[in-house]
Parts: sequence; C-alpha cells; structure tokens
Amino acid sequence: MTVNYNLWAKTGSISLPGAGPVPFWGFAPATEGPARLPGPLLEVPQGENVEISLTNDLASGISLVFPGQDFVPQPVKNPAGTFVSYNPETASGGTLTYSLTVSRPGIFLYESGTAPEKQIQMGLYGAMVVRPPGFDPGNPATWTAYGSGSGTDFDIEKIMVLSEVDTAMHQALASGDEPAGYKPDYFLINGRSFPDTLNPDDSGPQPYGAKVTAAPGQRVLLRIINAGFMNHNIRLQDIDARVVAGDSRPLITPVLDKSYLKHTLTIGSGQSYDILFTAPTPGKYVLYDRNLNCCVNGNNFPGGIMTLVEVP
Amino acid sequence: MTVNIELWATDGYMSTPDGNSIYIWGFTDTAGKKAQLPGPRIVVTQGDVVSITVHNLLPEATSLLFPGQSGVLADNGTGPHLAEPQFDGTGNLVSLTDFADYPGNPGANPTSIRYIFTAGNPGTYLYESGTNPHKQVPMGLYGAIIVRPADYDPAVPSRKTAYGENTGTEFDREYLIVVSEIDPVLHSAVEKGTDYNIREFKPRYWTMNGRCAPDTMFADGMGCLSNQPYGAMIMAEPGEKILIRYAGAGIENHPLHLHGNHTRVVAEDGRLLKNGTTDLSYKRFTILTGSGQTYDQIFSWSGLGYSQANPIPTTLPNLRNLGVGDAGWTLWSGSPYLGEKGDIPVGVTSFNEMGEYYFMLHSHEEMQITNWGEFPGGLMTMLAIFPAGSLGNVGTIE
Ligand SMILES: [Cu+2]
Repeated sequence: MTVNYNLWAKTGSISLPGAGPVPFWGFAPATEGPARLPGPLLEVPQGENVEISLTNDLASGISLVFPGQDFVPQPVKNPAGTFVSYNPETASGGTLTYSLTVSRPGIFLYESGTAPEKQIQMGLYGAMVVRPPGFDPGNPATWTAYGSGSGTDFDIEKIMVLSEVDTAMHQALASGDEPAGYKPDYFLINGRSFPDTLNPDDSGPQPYGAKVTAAPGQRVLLRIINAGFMNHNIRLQDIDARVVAGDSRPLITPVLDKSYLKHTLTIGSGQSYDILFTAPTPGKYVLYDRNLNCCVNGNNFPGGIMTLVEVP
Repeated sequence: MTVNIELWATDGYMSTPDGNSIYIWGFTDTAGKKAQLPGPRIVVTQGDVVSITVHNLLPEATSLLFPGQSGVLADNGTGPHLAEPQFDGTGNLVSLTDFADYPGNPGANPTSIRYIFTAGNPGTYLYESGTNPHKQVPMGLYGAIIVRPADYDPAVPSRKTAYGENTGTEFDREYLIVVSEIDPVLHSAVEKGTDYNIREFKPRYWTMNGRCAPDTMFADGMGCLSNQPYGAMIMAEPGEKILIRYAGAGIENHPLHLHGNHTRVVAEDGRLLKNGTTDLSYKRFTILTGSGQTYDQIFSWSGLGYSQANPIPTTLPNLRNLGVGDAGWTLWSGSPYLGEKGDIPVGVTSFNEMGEYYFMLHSHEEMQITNWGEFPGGLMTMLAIFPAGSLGNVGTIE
C-alpha cells in the first residue's frame, strides 16, 4: 500500500519569547496554510510505501533525505562534478516526489539534503513516526512503540523534536546574506522555546505543544529526536526513566533486555531516544537541557529547551 | 537512619595554577567558612533519610536539585512537601525547585530551606542549584553524593562494593572526579555585578574536583588550595580493583580517558547496568562524561611483570636522548621497572617517589587540558601505580 503526503516548502515567520518575528523556511501540509516548525508530523504504518510530493515555493532548490530509514540517497553533482545535494532537488517553483518504504518502526527525521548547514537551521526538518504492526490509533491496548514483546507499551506519547535557532543567521539567510557564523540564541522543543513549550497545540506556524500531562501510573513514552546542530543533555528531574530505544533500535527483545535507567541523556545531533516512565505522584516535574546555556531565551533564564511533565 | 547535613551557600575564591584567583559561589559545611569547590562530599548509605539544610548567604535566591533521587521533599518553614518548580504570581518560572530566599530580600521569605529524601539507590550523584542554574551551577553551586549500598561493609571484601554484594562492583580503592569548567568572564561579571552574555560562554579553565592540572595531583586538603580541598590523583597497586566515579557538573560534555587502560562502566547516573542476570556493563577507552551525568567504572592495572630478572625486550634510549619537556621536572623514576629508581637527566627534577608508574587521565578535547591556553593544565590528572604493599589506605572516601 502507498501513503501519500503533500508538502509545500515555504518562507514563514516564527515567534520566540523576547524576539520579534523570526523568518524561517519550513514545510507546510497544505498549499494555503503556513509553513510549520518542525514540519508536519508524518505518521505511517510499518511496511508502507511512503510517497512525499514536495512543492518548492522557496527561492532555491531543496531536497529531502530520511536518515535512519531504508532509503538510499542519490547524491547530485553539477556538470563540473561539484557536489550539489544529497538527493535530487526540487527546483524553485517545481514539484518532485520522494518515495521510500518504511521497513521498521520508530521515530525518524526527514530533512533537507541541500545546503543542510543553512536549510536545516532555517527549519526544513520534521519528524516521521512509523507505527509497528498491530498499532491501532483507536485502541489504546495496541499502543506500543516497537510492537509486542518490545516492552514499549504506553498510554501517553509525546514526540519532542529538539533544535536551535540563531536569529541573526535566520535574518541574514532570509535577506540573502551570508551568515556571520553559528551562535544560537534560542533552543527549541517542537519549534518552541520555554515557556511557549507549555502552550497547547495550535494551528499556527509552531503548532506542536511540548507539555506532558499524565495521571499517576500512566506509562509515558517520550520520543526525543535531535534535529539541531548541537548535542543536548535532556534531564527528567525526579523521575526514573528507562531508555528503551536508541535511533529507533529497540533495546528490549523477548530474549534480551538491554534497556537502562538514566536521568540525564546526551542526545547527539541527529540521534533519537525513546524513554519510558511511569507517571509518579501528583506534581510538576521539569524536563530540561542540562546544557544549562540552552535553558535561556537570548540572555534570559528560564527559556529554551525546558518543559513540564504535569501529573495532576 | 537519618543523616542531617547543613550547607551554607556563600562565596569565596578558587586559585588556578597560573596564579589566577577566581571568584566563586559554592557550599561549605562549616558556618562562617568560605565556599569550597566542589561542595562538600556527602556520603550516605542506601535507605538513609537524608536531610540537607541550605542556609543562603548569597545575594540571590538559591536551591538544590538532587538528580537521580525521587520523592524529594522541601521544607521552608511550613512543613515538608514535594519539591517542585516554583512560579511567581504571574506564572513565570522562577526556580526549578523550592528555594531559599536571600538575606535582605523585601519579600522576607525564609533564607534557609531543608530538603529531605530517602537515598533509594546506591551510586554516584550530583547535587546542584536549581535557581538561575545557568549562572549558579557554573559559579560553583554543585557537589557530589555517594550512596553506599545497604549491605556495604568495607571490612568484608565481597561487601565493599559500589552497588551491593553480587553486583560485580567490588573495589579496593575508590576515587571521585567531579569535572567542570570555568569561564572567568562569568565569574568576574558576577563578582562585579556587571552583565554577562551567555552566548559568549568561553571556558578558559577546566576542573577536576575544583582544581586545574597540575593542582589535581596534589593531595587532599593542601593549605595553598584552601577552598579546593579534594585531590584528583588516582593511586593503586597492581591487581587492585579501582572504582572511579566521574560526575559531570559543568555545562559541557568532557571525553575523559585513561592512558593504557580500558575501564569497565558498571553504572550510569547511579543505576547499575544490569537487568536481572543480563550484564550491560561495557568497556571504554574514552568516556564522554555528559553534563549532569555520572559514570562509575572499575578496572584493574596488571603490568606485564617486567623486572631486572625479566627484562623488557627492547633497548632503552640513551639518557641524553630523553626529552622531559620545558618544565624541567618529570614523574619518571629513571627506571623502566616498577618499584625501582634510576638515573634521570642532569638538571631535571623527578617527583617520582618509589619507582611508581604514571599514566595520564585527561580530557581528549585538548583545549580542555590547558589553563587559559597553556598546556599542560585543566582536565588532567595521573593514575599512579605503586609497588604492591606501599599505599596504605589512600583511595578511601569517608
Ligand atoms: Cu590521551
């Protein structure tokens, strides 16, 4: 079977606490809606053929790559033999379809394979979650991250896409200038900096909230994937969390349990971890980057990569 | 058993080997004393109820987080309650946990706070500020906690363990190395009350137990390092099981490695790497000590048994061809054999005591082994292998 998606790459504007509107490039799920940061969450069953039709409303060529998937990029060179992109480009104004078969469950990035040092920073990335066999969105009893026997049954799932924004770099690239260098001043979960991370989902350019609400005893699955350029040390304060998968490789099989407990986890650029915990006694628990310089907005604490797990 | 600990959050100065004196914030466990770096070691036993009172003498509110503990209670005068992130009247987060106010604040909230938790798991942990942590933690408001397993008994070898009997974590000697880094511009901005730009964070010093190399190799409690009481040199005899506890208290991650030896990581963040009978421990040459994280490792040094009677099958370089660097001193004994001393080049001072071997333990990010750009320094110490029977009880943490 084939699952079809249409994405539009567009310019847009995000709002960050204490900063004016910040230009960005992102993916929109519709021709008329705003581009999103991160791009639309793609949710597909394992084994499907995924076809993504990408329309490019940006001024320069872009492309898509799917790290961690069974997908062989076809690097493109110009006639002089110089590297152009990791995968065929959708030219400005054009449309191109990318297809892949999602052969294993997990949480993955899709991101630009053209000038990624600029285009990914500008926002051309998003997450794809691949559901294991038997997963039925309407039946919580079937909810697992990696299928039965993987020890990943959950009641509540929260996907967290980490990244950073250098607002000066965004301004420069949006006006066609060369950036001076990379020195991020905003640090994001799902395209938002704290305290915006606490706001509910909405329909704007940063639609994905990052707060977790769970009742005591509920099994919470955090799927944290790092789309940024820096490594982030994610800490879940006062909650014992178990790492059940790294880069969508499950650590538990019916014969071997390699999962482990960790309160602070270094998530390298491009990496993902699935973390499972049982919601403890009622209270507010903070999740933040122990690289404390990423818990700021500009020069002010608190901000950045920080959110709450709230157990009412 | 209940363990009562009192800490004062205050200021002080640390000194660096290049002659700098840097303003710090930190903890002391003695009223009226200056802050020390890192804060006092706290050693408790699994199952203990740990009660830590913080008296705040700083010019702003402060607090403590206990990563790896759960069910931490706070009591700032109204009785114990779950320690939680604190928000002001308009909903802005002001602290990651309940805090002690600062003296003279018109709000007149208590300037002391007590935290209570049950040390549920053995292991290595940090305690650190949860208030303006991007400033207070780098300024020095951190320290380490060692939780002994419930069955710990240093007199019984099978019970002198990091994680309990039959966990494969027996040790003969143990060492704790808390790593961090110092951006002097932050410290002087805090001292002078001037602005600091977080984006310009640029460490110039890197510390093991609050000291930069070569001070890391001095013994505990040196008078010239009055606010940096903990040495970081590892000393062992051949065949002994050595437990090294790394704790990352800084902002950065630090790749630490020990020359000539792989170590086995047996626990991370105070959790034994074992599921039932499945052993998840692993050997590493370089351990990326992530900020806010801890790594417990055990290893043994066993040489190849070379001695005058069993000589090393190689030709040693002529004494005149030996370079010992600009410093004019060496840790080399002058002999290739453990427990023997020999000739060293004329004009060179050897600090070797009894023919012991030295292996570097350092950060593999080479800027981190400098003091303001000057090598050697920073995140560097030595593992010293002494002849059997010569060490007594060094490598004991109480
Ligand atoms: Cu080395």
